Amino acid sequence: MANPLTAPIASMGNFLSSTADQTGFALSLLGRTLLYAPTIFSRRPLRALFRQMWVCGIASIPVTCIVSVFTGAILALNGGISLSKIGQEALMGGIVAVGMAREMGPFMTALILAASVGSAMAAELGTMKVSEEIDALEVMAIEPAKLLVLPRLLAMCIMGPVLTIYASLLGTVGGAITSYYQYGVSYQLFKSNALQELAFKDVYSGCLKAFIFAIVIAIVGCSQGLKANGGAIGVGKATRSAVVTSYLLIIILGYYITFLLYRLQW
Amino acid sequence: MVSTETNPSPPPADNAPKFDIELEDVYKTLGQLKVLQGVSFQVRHGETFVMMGLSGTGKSVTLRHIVGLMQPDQGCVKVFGEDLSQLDEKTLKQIRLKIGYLFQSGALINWMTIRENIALPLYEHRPQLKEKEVQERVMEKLRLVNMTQAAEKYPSEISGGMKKRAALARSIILDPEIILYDEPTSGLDPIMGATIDDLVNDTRDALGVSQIVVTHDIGSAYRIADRIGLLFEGEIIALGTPDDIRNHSDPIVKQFVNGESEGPITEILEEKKRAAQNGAPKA
Ligand SMILES: Nc1ncnc2c1ncn2[C@@H]1O[C@H](COP(=O)(O)OP(=O)(O)OP(=O)(O)O)[C@@H](O)[C@H]1O
Ligand SMILES: [Mg+2]
Repeated sequence: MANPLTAPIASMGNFLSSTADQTGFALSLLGRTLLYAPTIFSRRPLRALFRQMWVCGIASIPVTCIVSVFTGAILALNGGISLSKIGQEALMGGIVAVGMAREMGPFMTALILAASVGSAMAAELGTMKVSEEIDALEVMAIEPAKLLVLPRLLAMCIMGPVLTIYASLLGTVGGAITSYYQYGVSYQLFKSNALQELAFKDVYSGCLKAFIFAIVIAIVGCSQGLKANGGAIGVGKATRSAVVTSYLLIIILGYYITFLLYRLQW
Repeated sequence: MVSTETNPSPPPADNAPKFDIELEDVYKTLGQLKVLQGVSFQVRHGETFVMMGLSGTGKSVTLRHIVGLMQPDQGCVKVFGEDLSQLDEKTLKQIRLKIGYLFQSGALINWMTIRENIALPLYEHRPQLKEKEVQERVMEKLRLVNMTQAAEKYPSEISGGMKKRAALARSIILDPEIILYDEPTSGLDPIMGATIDDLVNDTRDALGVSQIVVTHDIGSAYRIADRIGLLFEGEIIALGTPDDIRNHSDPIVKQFVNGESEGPITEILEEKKRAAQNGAPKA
């Protein structure tokens, strides 16, 4: 049955076709959900939206704080090692602020959101799927995309960029503190260099990334959940693959967005 | 409705479906298991059809076909005369709106209270209703199933039988024309079970609703059924009025109806088990 010669090809084929399947499902889910976007403006959907914004925004603040402060501190520490060799510690502000706004802010925030909120989406919807609740919605002619995915997607698209800006600011503060204590860069100098180096483009490309990552996290989480089957094990699988898929997409897309915006100067 | 008078008859109902639900020779394999192997039956308008059968024969699977949650591998399922496999999404939704489906597991949305669960279809499909009217309708259905006291509870906070009843209230909230009940009385005490039987009878009598009831309770089946179908080994092997079934000559039906542990059914199942064991090493 399992021919050793063809088995790897077959499993590769399976992998590719299931990836194509998942991608197709996720994209069509995104399309369907966007179709329902106008329905958000009424009392009950708005309440669901605020609830989700609370879940993915407010509840993620503490961990975002810690992670971003340390990320900024690491950027400063690491940049300082090279800069102090050539006596250019004055450039610390720019390095940290630009690095946070453009790359590390969106990146770290997205990883946090994927691990905490995206996985929760997959688990929640997955549990609903395996306990026939999604089927029940379908039989009642209620679109899961509208009732479940839309508030999650929108909440993520709003809170993702907000959290990212917040993380970038906090990271820069963390970098400033490290610069002061480790390399003796005054806060004044740090700030003026940061403001001088930081371009509007850095901020908006950071926000753009955050926005795209938010869509990825929400849609991957929801689609994995909605595709779950086979009881608790299925939910576990869906959750795991939601996190793994989001991480991969965040890293790969992050690279290409920077590439497009800064190498090709879009 | 047999009339010998020759007065101008109402417009001919040739194209109108005679049956609300029709299954024609439905086959379905799930994984390796041939679950349905040529299931055919019809449910007339306004009729209560009771489906019985051993645990795991495919009663729930059959119901899932009728709401389009599963598609037959072969054969066809018609609801209100429409072949479900031929419908676009919008028409299918329209049909589903006229069907109430009580899931065997209840399938209440776990993060909503009972009240919110039952109101959900109203919010979605009756947007013109005022909040007060929605709540009135919800309470009315909750009263029918004796559940008003648990309206503010979450599904995880109530018992299995209570979940069943809440789910039943939800499945009839839009006043559907077809109701499918998957074991409405399992997990209920006898008195509550009888109340649900009355509810099933009342809905049929008052609203002329067509209903399929899956149940393991033969007494309840006799009380509510216009006709009973017995699903065995992927086919409807007996079909008839409660009296037909009660007095059926087929030994399989007899064993089932009388609930005996020894008989042809047991032999068939034993035989299958043996065949599976002998066949296993070859595969
Ligand atoms: N999604 C599925 N995938 C694979 N097999 C399934 C699936 N759903 C049901 N089955 C199998 O189909 C058979 C029929 O299941 P079904 O739920 O219809 O039984 P049932 O007649 O409703 O039994 P019960 O009276 O215990 O509820 C079972 O053997 C079950 O294992
Ligand atoms: Mg069942």
